[in-house]
Amino acid sequence: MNKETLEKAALGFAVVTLISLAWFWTVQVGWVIETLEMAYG
Amino acid sequence: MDLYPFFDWLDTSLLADISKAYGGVFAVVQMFHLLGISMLGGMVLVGDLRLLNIVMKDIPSEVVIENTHKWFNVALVIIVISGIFMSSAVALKLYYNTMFWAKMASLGAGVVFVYAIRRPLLKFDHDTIKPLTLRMMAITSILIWFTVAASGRWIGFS
Repeated sequence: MNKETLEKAALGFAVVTLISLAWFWTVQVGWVIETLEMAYG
Repeated sequence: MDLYPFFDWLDTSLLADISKAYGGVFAVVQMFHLLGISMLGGMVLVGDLRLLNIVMKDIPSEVVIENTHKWFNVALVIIVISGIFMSSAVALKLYYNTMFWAKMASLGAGVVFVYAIRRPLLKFDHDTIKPLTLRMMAITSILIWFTVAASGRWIGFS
């Protein structure tokens, strides 16, 4: 693959991954907060 | 694709017999797994922080990336081999563990990212690559491997 294609692929992959990871960790932290609220009110 | 048959086979394999029966062997393999993780994490951090122009500014980023990639490969092999052995001890439990699959998904994404995009792109002269692309790649790489390690650790608490 040429450099321009790889650069586009890198940026596309980065954007998709960053959005996915932000969603994933938001859900995980949300579950932890929910559990703590159930335990301690 | 249902991977249950594979995990069912792994749970009753010779590897599982050894990992379940010999705690000492499991502990030694786990030590290598953790050593591999720290080595991989170190290589990722050094390489990506260099791309972000935060560390080793006096060394060309091509040199840093080339050297860290070699040891990244070694660390990845250690992690995968020791990880398969450790998984065999609790294969069916892992099959039903959400965090295990999060770890596998992020590991898969990390491997594809490194070998299909990051490595081929960084073989070009770094000065010819857009700074934004380099920064985005470095940040993405750090976050992917952080997720692999953190979700892996989370398996033990879920």
